[in-house]
Amino acid sequence: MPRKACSSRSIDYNYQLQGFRTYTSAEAAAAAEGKVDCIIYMTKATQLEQAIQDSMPVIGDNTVACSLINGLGNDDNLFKVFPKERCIIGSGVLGTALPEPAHCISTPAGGVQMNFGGATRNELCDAVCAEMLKCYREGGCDAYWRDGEPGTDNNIYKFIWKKVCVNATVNTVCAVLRLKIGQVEADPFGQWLFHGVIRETCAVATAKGVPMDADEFIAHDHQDIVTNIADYYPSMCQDMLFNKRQTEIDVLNGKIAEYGAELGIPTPCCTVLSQIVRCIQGNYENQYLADYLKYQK
Amino acid sequence: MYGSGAAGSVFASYLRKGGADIILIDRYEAHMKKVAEEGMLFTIH
Repeated sequence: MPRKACSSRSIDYNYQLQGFRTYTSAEAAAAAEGKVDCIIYMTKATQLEQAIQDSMPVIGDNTVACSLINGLGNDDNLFKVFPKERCIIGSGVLGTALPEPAHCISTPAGGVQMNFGGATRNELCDAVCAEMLKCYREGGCDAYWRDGEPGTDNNIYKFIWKKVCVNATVNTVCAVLRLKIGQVEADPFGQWLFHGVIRETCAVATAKGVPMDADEFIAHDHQDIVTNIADYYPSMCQDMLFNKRQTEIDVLNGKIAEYGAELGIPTPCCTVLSQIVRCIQGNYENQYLADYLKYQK
Repeated sequence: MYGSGAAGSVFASYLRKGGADIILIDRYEAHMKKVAEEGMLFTIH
């Protein structure tokens, strides 16, 4: 039974979950457990390639590899090592925190919390997806197995690209401009940047086999965002303005620009925005405000 | 679950709560040790 903790804001449900087996390396896990049926990678996107190599001791001939890491390009990293027939991709749509060892917090926003699906449809991936769906749902997570044919609206890539389009637009533009979503949308120059990123992202997604209509995205998906969370600093704003962290730029606008270059599709907004963010995150300590405050002491 | 930071721990907790047999692999030793010994406190806010 969950323990409830009431606060003025909401009710927390606490569960003490037993039965995890834990290891600090794949070698140790392999020695005790052998090969695993499915491995879910939840590293930072920039660490995934190395993580796959490090995890090899627990990988068998039938191990299914799954990435639930946000952003673009995680599938490419899986495909370097695993056949597509053994790959599942997806991403979560909920806030998470780990305030101390052995205590994790989920802050679901309501609505869909997890999307995943096989890179291809086949018996092995279908069996793992069915089991994941069952466990996530029974565990209280509103998860969805997106098993549509490639290019259709219920294919997992559609959900990944739509989420990327939202994040590459509002996260990056708001972070660079240091403004909330509604403030950018209300400014004609800011809105031009929002729409520029959307048009480039939709063009690249379509060329990658995931049809996306920019006008439709602006009219519906983008409109929902600017209507419902106008008074909000997106996560990249929080990374750059408040916490001075490295951002997800390489798997958002940076990857869109990279794909665009490969496909011959111009991506001027994504290219310039990603270079600006990379320069800022490499120079947090040197930025004008930090220098100004130093001289105020 | 390879990588058990905030998101990895939460995703693993939902699966474990739903009955999955879960192995966590992460270099965060204090976290791994305490989860193995005492379990994971999973808060849904």
